[in-house]
Amino acid sequence: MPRGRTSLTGPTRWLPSTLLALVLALFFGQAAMASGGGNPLDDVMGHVFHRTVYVPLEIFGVNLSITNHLVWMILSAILLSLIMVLAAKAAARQGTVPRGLRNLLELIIVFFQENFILKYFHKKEDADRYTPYLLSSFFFIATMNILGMIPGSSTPTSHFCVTAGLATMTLFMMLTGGMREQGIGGFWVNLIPHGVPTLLKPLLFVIEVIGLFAKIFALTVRLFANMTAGHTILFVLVAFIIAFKQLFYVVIPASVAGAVAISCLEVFVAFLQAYIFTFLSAVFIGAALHPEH
Amino acid sequence: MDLFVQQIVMAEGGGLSVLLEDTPGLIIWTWVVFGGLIFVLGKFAWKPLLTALDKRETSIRESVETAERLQGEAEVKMREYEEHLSQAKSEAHAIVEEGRRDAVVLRQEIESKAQDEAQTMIDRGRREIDLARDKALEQIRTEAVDISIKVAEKVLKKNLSSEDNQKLAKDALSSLGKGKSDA
Repeated sequence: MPRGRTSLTGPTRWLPSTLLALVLALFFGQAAMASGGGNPLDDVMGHVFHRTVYVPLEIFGVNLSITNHLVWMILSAILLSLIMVLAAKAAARQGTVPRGLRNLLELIIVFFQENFILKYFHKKEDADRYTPYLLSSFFFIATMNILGMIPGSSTPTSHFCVTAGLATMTLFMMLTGGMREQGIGGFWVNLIPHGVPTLLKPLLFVIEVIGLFAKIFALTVRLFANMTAGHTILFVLVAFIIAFKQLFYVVIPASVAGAVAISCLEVFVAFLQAYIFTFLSAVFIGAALHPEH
Repeated sequence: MDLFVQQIVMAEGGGLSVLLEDTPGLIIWTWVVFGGLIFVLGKFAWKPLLTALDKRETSIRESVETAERLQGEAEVKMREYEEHLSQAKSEAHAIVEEGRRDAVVLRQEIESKAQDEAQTMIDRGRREIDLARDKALEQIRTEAVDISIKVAEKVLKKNLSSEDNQKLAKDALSSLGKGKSDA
């Protein structure tokens, strides 16, 4: 099952901290309610899920407003494009022997290719076809996660619409790739495992289709929840200072030290989650191209 | 609860439910932005970078293959030369050995030849000595016959026919010689 394969990475690592953050938020929210606030969880999470609409926009009944998340997503895309295109230009100038940061970039690319792209796409041409998509998704998610660490910025990846958009791109790749490889009907027929009694086939087909979307749902929630969890913990740690005003001098060092430690961890998590998203995308697309492997 | 916290919370406002307002607009925006990014990066960043990587990989593989091929060739050559060398060594050894054997044979031949020659010379010398001795003895006998005849003539003072005398003396001498050679 897709859940079993995917739960190996993100959630097991982050579930404890996320739960802790929620418990702390509840505890803190209780204090807020006692002093006359609204829904305590909503109030605390309000900071993490804050949304600012810069330009309201509605086309055909769809809310396409330009929000803080969208602005930071576009900024990430522009920054990343600039860096990468300049890197490619510099690489073209350098010739065959790499120098400086290009080594790091090539190291990442080769690491991806050797570690899972070539492994999960059994043919070299398939690997070559999907490498640009996978590299783009890794660097895009990593850039958004890292830019979200800047105080005052927004983390697009802590918005489930953004992660859903990214995950559905992977679904799109799975469907188009699978149908191109096995034929439009063949892809859906091959979803059913071989050697299953005919009576069970309709049931299994439904389960497999649900599994297809479960994979994408898992991708969406994993990235969204991980990025939200880190920011929640940071907010809770800093909010302790105000919540326990009477113990000001005791709480401040602990809170700041905790916030610094969690921030360091968040930098790591920013790359880790981008990597996990890309890795699982490669696994899913590879499996969609060649079933029964 | 502190008023400041309340102010922050109110200003940010909303909670998780506020994000629902972006559905599905932000998903579409994500497709647009991410799609554009994939296009730009794919065309201007990944393609040149991946091509350069591929090219380098090919050139490294070719270099290594060439080096390996050359090394293999060198090893074959080396083995050939070593073979030649050892062959030459064994040939030289064989030649020296043969020469030594020839020398030994030659020495033996020369020695045996010299020995044979010496033997032949000794034999011939011995034969000549024998011949000379026989001749000398023959002469002595003849002389002795003549002298004995003369002595007998003088002693008897009677001149017998020299033919008779000679016959008598010869008979006597030959019986003497026979007796001597028999003895």
